[in-house]
Amino acid sequence: MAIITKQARKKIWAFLALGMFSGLLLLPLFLSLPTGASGADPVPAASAKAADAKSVEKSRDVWYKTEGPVVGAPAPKTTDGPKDYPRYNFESRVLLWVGLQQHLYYGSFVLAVPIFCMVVEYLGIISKDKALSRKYDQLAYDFVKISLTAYSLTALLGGIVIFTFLTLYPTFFTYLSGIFRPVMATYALLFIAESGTLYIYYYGWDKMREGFLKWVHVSMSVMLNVIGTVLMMLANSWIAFMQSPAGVDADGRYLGNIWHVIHTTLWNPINVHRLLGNMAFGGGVVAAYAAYRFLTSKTDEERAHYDWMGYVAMFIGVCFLIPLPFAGYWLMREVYAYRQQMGITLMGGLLAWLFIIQAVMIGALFLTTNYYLWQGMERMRGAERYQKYIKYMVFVLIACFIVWLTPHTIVMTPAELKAMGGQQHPVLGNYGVMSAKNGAINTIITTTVLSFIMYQRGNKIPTVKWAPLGNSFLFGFFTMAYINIIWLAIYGYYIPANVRVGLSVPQVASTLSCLFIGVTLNALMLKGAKDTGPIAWGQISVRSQYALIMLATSFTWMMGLMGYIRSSVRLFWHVNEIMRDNSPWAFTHTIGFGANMISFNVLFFWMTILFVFWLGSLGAKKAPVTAPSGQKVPIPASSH
Amino acid sequence: MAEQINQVSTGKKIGFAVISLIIAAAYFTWLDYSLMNMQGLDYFYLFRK
Amino acid sequence: MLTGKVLGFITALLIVLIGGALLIILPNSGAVQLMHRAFHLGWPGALVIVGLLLYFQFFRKNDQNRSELVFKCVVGLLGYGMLFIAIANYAMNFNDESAGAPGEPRFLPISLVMFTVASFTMAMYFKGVRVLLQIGGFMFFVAACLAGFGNWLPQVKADPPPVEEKTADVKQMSVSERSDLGEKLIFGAVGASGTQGAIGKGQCPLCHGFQKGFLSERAPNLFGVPTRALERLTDPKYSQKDPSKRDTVQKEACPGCGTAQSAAEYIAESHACPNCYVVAGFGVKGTNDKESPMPAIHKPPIALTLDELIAVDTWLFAREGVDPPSPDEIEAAYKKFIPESDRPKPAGAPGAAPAGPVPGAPVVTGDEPVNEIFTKALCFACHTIPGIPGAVGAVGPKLVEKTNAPQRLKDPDYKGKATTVREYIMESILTPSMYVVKPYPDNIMPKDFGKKLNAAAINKIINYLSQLEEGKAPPKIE
Repeated sequence: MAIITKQARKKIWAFLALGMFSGLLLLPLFLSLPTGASGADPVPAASAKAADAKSVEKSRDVWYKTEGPVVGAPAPKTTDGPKDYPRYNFESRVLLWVGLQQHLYYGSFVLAVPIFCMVVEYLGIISKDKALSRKYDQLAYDFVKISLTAYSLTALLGGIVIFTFLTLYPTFFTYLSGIFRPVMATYALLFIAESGTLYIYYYGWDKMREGFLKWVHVSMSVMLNVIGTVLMMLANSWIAFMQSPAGVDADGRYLGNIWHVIHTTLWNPINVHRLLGNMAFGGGVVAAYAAYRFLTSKTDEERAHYDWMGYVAMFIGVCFLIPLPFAGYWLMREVYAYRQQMGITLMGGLLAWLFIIQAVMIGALFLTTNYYLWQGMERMRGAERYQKYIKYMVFVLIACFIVWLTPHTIVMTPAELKAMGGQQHPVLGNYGVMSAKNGAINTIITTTVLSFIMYQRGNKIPTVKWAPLGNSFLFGFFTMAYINIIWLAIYGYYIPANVRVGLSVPQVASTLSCLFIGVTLNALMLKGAKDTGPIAWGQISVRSQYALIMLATSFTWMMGLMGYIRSSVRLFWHVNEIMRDNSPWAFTHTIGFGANMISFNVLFFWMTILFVFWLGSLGAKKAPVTAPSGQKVPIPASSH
Repeated sequence: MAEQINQVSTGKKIGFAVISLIIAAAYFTWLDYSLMNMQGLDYFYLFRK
Repeated sequence: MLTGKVLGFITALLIVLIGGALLIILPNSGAVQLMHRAFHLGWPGALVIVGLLLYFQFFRKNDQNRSELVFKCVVGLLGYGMLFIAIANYAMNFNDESAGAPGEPRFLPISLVMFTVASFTMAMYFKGVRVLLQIGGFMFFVAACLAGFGNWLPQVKADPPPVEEKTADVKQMSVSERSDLGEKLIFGAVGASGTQGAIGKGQCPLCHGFQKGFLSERAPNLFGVPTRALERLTDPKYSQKDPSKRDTVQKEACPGCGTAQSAAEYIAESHACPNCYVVAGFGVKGTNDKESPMPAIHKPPIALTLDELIAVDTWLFAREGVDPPSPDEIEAAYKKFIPESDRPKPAGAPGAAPAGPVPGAPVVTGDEPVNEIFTKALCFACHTIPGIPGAVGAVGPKLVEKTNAPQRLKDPDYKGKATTVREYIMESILTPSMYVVKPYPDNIMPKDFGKKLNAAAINKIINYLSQLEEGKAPPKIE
């Protein structure tokens, strides 16, 4: 009896705590509401003068085409000089580029990791296997631990970015912050809420280990992620506004509807694309961390743990990599719908070469993933029977990779054009068309799925009654999928362009069918399968860990590249078609310069984060020594 | 591996494989046709022409 | 015994020797400059390492690890040197690509390769951070590959288009402001009228000379036009009393428009109806001066608005010190010769065709439809191109190349390298003097189209022209 009452009391306390907690979290939102409302109200301060002069002036929204009262000042017309563009002896745009990119890298990581953490912690709770449950819990804890230092760095970098922005582009900053005033206030408050939640979440881990409190702890991670995502979406609204402004009139005057300013046409596609991108990126960084810990491990247990962690992180990263192109497709479609010229600049004009680099990277990412999976099969007894297929898969992947990176039409110098006798190469030009490329990338992904299925059944032999039928079906299904994908690719050459573009849909659908049907069927077949031996975690090759590092570096590079593309497509506008960039740096850099800058950012990020990892590993080594001695361990600075 | 379960004859395996191939072929043809149809396009364009 | 240690010492010694030799033999070479720069940037750190080395060597005599420590200092110095040479390469070649900035960004990936080498080398000696260095080196390697790939691709830098100011109300401007605007429309910039080759939206200097003595083969030199205009009106060929007696292909700007009575009206009529009166010797070749090669300026592709035409005419008067007619007078003159429906609408007005390039696009990206390329590259001004509206120029040959090119290639005078129609067209665009069609003179066609047009644009032009056949309907514009 006593125990029950004790537990009931605990429950009540937990409920109270949770309620208070949610209340505190929602408080900023309430606080920000009046701010938002004052923005929507035409009368107050900002427009008082205007109201005096004439009755409230009305103007038309550039995107929504609705009428609204003019509240804000028009976009300033800047001139090149120290007033609008003060500078150090360096290209201001590049300085801001570096600052923002670093902030974004850390920010994405900090946003992505709590999501994994939430999933993994939840898996730990529902897992019936005690040992596995503890393993998951430990993994989730490890994740947060990594992200905590990164969180402080994110905040620090955010501060640096704001000061750099304010110093180097004061006029532009004033204009933007004038429009986004209510959003910025909300942002700041949410940021405080996020910090609080994160610290309670982390330091409360041990206290909230059992029973109901554990559930409170998990719901806290949900809250953490909700706040994080809202934060990201608010930040996205600024860049979306710069790219596809709305809520202002043609002169850039704010029309009083903050929702229009936030909800521009590209906002949601960017939100989705970034969320998925962050997850893939976060997976990559955690995988690299695991690889680093694996390579520096001294004991077999450590190696086993970090091998497993690397595998899970890689798996998460690739899982989010696969839907990423579809989100990208949506974003691109919206870009075309917004301004066709912008779409053409991206895909067929000035920036098209950057997409070729991206294509090469995507191909390389899939190759690396396959390589890692094959390496992983070496630590399973019984997986030898699949080794003989690998060479054929390598051949298929390489062949497709080459087709995939053959450019179609590209910007060339007239001399090059003259040498080639036309814009398309007489032989290779045939492989450069979309038809062939779609076929190639779908074949690559299907092959990756096949690798994954092989990996899953590496150490297992299906014992279900219908296993022979299932195997035959898998065989038949994949064979036909390959045939279908290649057939559609060839078919594309013989039919007119308007029909051809439609073929990519069934092609992608074939790939996805393989992914879903193949993986599901395989999982069903492996139920109660006979183990040929456990996965010998930790016995993976060192090379495979470099594959993980390669994945992580490529993710980072690709993120830098895509961010650069998204940002530079505005060309010479601060805010597209509203506020022109009149600084000396309104031009678009060459690809080479862009690639150099991206490399610099990537390496700078990795150097700092490797340093963070290294610091972490120092702390971990010292921990058992200092803890029992009873010394006061200083709590890591949380004052930002 | 003597205790291998569900060992079936090679003939049966080929039979299964053929059936699977037919099912898969039918599925993919249906997939191609219906997805093209959904976009208002004719999958069998070349053959009807 | 050749241990790693000995090897390290030997390498360090070799590098110092080679570096020293370079310093003495080639004191001005790039490598030495790089070393100088590296030393400049990194000497304090190097000093610390050298200090440590000396300290270990001479003050830790009893330490059993002494030789190990000294060795690490030497190798560390080596790695440090490599690091700073890479950084110096970065610092020297990093530029923002603005004109005249020193350095070559294409060399930057080399730094990454140097970092890679330095990391892996150091990883052999510093066991404590071996994995970190290896991972770092590997990342540098990946980044070096990607950056190298990016630098290997063709490099295009896009400058922003010049700021296009909205034409303010010309009637509100002072005479000099209006005249400046006119100069800008003709030559592209205020004060550019004396520069050979300067050209603006109106594209006039393509054919007309404006300064006394400037070459003006294709059209009359417009120096002194305000006074000469009145002389032209008395020319019997002008037939001021009865336009129907004119022998030109077009007798009047519009039915019932009549003839010019003042200099302003003469200039307005010339802009609106170039065919109404052709100055002797400047007609389309073979028409006996009955037809003018000049396009109507108020119509596409040039399509200056009335306000812009007012500014242009004001400049023609003002620059010679003549008091220009008032804007209202000039406007009235244009309204006389351009019927309401034909007047181009100012940009921004509802229903107006977008003037000039779409904001955000480079001048010719190659993505435009082919007719826009012809317009923007100004081909229309001199050539007749069937199917392209406004392309009725007669300064150069008619471009029906499916018919023409094979004949030209057979011409015994043909000295070019082309063997196909497409090659012939490309050659004619890029090197116009390779073969000049008779009876047109050489050196009229600009030779810089290779710089103005990118490959995609040239490709589109070739695609279009190679399909044009004499007497056949032109192909569809893509």
